[in-house]
Amino acid sequence: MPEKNKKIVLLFREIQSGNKTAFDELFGLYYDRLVCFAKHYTRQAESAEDITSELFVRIWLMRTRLSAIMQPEVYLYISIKNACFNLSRANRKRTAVLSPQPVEDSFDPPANDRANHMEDKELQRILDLAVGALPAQRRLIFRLVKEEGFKSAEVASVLGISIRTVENQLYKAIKVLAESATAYLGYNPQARVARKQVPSGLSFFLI
Amino acid sequence: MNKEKFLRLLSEKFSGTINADKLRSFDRAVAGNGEYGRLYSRLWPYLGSRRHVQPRKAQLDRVWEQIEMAEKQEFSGKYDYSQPRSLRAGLLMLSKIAAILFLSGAVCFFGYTYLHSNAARLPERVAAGNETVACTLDDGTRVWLNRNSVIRFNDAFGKNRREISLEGEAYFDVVHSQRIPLVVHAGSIDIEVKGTAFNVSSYGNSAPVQVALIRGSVKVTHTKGVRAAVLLKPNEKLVASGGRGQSVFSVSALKPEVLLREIGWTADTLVFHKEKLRDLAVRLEKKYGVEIQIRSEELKEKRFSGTITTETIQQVLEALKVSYPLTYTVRNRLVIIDALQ
Repeated sequence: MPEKNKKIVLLFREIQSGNKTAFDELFGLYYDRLVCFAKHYTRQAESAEDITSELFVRIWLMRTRLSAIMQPEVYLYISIKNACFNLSRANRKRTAVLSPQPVEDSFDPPANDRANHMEDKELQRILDLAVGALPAQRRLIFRLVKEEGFKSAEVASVLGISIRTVENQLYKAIKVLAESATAYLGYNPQARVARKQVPSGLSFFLI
Repeated sequence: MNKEKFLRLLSEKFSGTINADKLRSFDRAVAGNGEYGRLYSRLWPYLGSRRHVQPRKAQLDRVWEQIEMAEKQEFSGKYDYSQPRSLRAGLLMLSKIAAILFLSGAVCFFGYTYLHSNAARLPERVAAGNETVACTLDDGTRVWLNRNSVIRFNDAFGKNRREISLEGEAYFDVVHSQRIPLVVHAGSIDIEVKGTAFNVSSYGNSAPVQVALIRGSVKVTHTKGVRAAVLLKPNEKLVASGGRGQSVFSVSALKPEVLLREIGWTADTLVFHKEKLRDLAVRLEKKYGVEIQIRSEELKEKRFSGTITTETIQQVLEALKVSYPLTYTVRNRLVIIDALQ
């Protein structure tokens, strides 16, 4: 979304000149999203929040040099990813002594948490489940596009993979979702009327 | 258009990379094919729905607080990215090592009076004698006390305040609470935390106070003289030395291996000799922070001998199983031991 990018470039420029309100606004726009993104790596709410807060502290402290950042949004996500990797590298050795942290799968937003266009709650639940069951990387790519409105190229540079991979993964994710949706519609009584109208489609459903 | 092609276009439309030509043929497919049309009308609202972004006032305030602290204290070492890192990091490390060498040699003086005045306000007390003690405070915070160490803390811990004073060495695993910060008074410093794990050693006047942080973040302030505050990050260790209003903080990054040694004593050796399983279970519960239920009365009276140092609870149970026919199940933090039928 170009207007979204324009917004963050503008905010970065304001922050560079020391505008605290702009910083607050940037925080409001991205804190939650970045914490969610960090949780994908840390699997722990606490350290995800710490990492994100630290990034914001750093942004303010290095504000005079923000203009050197070409793609602010991509920068935010890559910073979080790197911080998570650093943390997990530091963590690896000591997990033996400390009791394991409970794994919170809170990357999944609660269903009532979203801007709701979905009338069919059951379908939404099924699709949420299908997304949750995707392989980790595919799920992450899908969510970066869906929740953050990223383009394939942006996802590629955040995750350090090729655009082609991103597009393939997206296609596979969409395919799974389409399958879940068709399976659901196949059993849904409301869809039965529609199904009779297009009998040729039925055989396709069942394949 | 076959289904694969349709889904490819849908996925391109979703990621916003679809071009005008493809979009036209996609729209035609949606309009012309009943199945595709239905699928699109069901899936698209889902793909377009975003999560609500929650306003996070508290976190924003905390970030500003951290910024203020970093700016005021010139504690900018870790935030300062203005120089090429390689040379700088080397110099920084050298100066840190120098500081540690210097400080660890220094003998310091602690405000005993401070501790004593605290004792009146903090009625609850846990002391460790010849062995380490693990205890869980009312709010769920876990504390491992090293030998000959004492903590005092306020009653109704966690209701309105969480204050602990420490003499000796202890490892804290603090339960997260944004509302009620936990404060540890050790020697001449106060350590304020929200939810973290860290090790504090504060042996009276024989050594400087040392704080090693495992995870989360803590704020360390001096109680006397200059009210210097330092924010510690995971894998950092702070050494506070000096008395009589003089305060010197030095912060160093720790390698995880070193950190392990720092808190190694919490995983202290558990030696048992011909001990009944019912008694052993109590000690294991303490050591591993689990609840152990023994289903068989007969089994409770069986005696075991052994030494446990760094083994996991799983390994311990496995070892018990080898030496006596029993079964166990682990469910979260509940361990159920039963005799083999």
